[in-house]
Amino acid sequence: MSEKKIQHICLISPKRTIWSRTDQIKKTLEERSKLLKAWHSPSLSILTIIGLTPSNIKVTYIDEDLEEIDFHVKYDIVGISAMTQQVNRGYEIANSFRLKGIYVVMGGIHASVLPDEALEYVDTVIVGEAENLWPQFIEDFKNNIEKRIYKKLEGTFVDLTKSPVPGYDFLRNKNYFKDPKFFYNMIPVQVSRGCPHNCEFCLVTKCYGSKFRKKTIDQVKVEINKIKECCPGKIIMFADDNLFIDRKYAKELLTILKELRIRWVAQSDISIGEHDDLLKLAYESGGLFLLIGFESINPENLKTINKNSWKYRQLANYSANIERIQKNGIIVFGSFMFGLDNDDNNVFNDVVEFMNNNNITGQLTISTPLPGSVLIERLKLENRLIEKEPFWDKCTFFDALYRPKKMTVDELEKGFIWAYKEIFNEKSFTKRAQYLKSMYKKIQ
Amino acid sequence: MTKNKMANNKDIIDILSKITRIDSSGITYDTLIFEELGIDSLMAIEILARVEKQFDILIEESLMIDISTVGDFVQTIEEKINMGN
Repeated sequence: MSEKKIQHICLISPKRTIWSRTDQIKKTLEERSKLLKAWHSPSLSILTIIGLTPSNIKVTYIDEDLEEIDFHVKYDIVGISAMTQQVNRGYEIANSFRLKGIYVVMGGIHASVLPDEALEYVDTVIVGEAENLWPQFIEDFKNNIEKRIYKKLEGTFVDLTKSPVPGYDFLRNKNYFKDPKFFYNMIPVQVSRGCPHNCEFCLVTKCYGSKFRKKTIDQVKVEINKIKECCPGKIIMFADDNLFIDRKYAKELLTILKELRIRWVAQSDISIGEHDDLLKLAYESGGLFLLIGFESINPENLKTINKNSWKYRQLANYSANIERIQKNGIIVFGSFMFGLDNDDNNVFNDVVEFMNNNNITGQLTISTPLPGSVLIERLKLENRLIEKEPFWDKCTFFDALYRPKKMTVDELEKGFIWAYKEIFNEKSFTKRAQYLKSMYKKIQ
Repeated sequence: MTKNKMANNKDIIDILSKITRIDSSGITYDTLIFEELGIDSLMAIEILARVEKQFDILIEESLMIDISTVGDFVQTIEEKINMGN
């Protein structure tokens, strides 16, 4: 059989629900969005796929949050990358293209944890990291021997030092940046994968393994220079789950970032607060804020959130470390979840008080049982899910999907709205800003 | 003349350039603060701290919320400075 020609591939990121699907919560979040504008960034998964696609194949990238899909174009392949809350829309898109005889392949975290479900809607599923699998799929497709599932060998992970530069070049073709409603104000870079903590609610360890794998510093430098060339002035968003796990590597990286003259944001755990030298370097290298997953300030919650109680052991140092981070000019953007098993009606006030006392802003979310997580399996055994699966479009992190142990669902939703209003109002914003301004004035 | 009376547009744009790490030649009055310079409410705090310190004035923290262009920002700061705060 002769080789099939691939001329045109369309890669799609399906429309997301930016806020909640619960009316009252959605209304509150939208009202307060002036004080916490949403950050928009292109899909790093799709940019990575673009980087892996042979340059003689034309690629179209559609971010459905920003533009409509034209279902009349005759692509050779449509690729869809979806997180759980996008996946139902992803399946609709797949269905529309398949009715026209177009081959559809899906990747992303949802299809990776539920490949059999995805295969009911698409022709092929890429399970897990795409670096080795996408080029293989392309070759097989050309030779008419494409498989239903592409997955890595059990226990093996991609060598990131061999990862290509994501297709940042592609962003030159898009003119999203001046749209007042939607635009990319941050461009993602991923320097590492893997996390040792294996938290109950999270899929990172399951999907990327517990071993910390990283790109070389030179690779990162090339990627950032490419972004500076293609999207000048954009903030770099490190998509790593924890940029500072390897302190020596982090120091080398920050030293290079200082030369590159960028502003950046990243995720970290709170123990970074114990390293004044790294924090100083983080500010000098353009660090703006660190998103830190505190998750809870209830010791009983933290004891059980991961097996080795790592987060619980940090609790006593939360405030001192926050103060040290912010004194070094890096804003702490805390992440908290409501609805954990030891949360009762006091949790909302406790978290608001903690955030106000420590002068931090952040994101408040509702604990979400993602498919593939240990949490969803436990909740099923305990018969606590409010709806039967699939409830994927409600996995927004702002919707109650299971019955908490120590309060009702109604109390959880009302408490969440109350806490959100307490944190995101002009009075709280002013207090935090005054504190941070005084910090900046000392170091500028 | 007091310290704050000596400010000019260039000083303010230089501050924006220093904080955003975007060359001042790429910043014009029409440049969009949030969309093009990436200045959100968090980076705005750092900018206001520097403006306050350099020009010896005080600025309400909520000022950035309704500002959309560099021109709006420069004008607002100049008004503050000329009013002697």
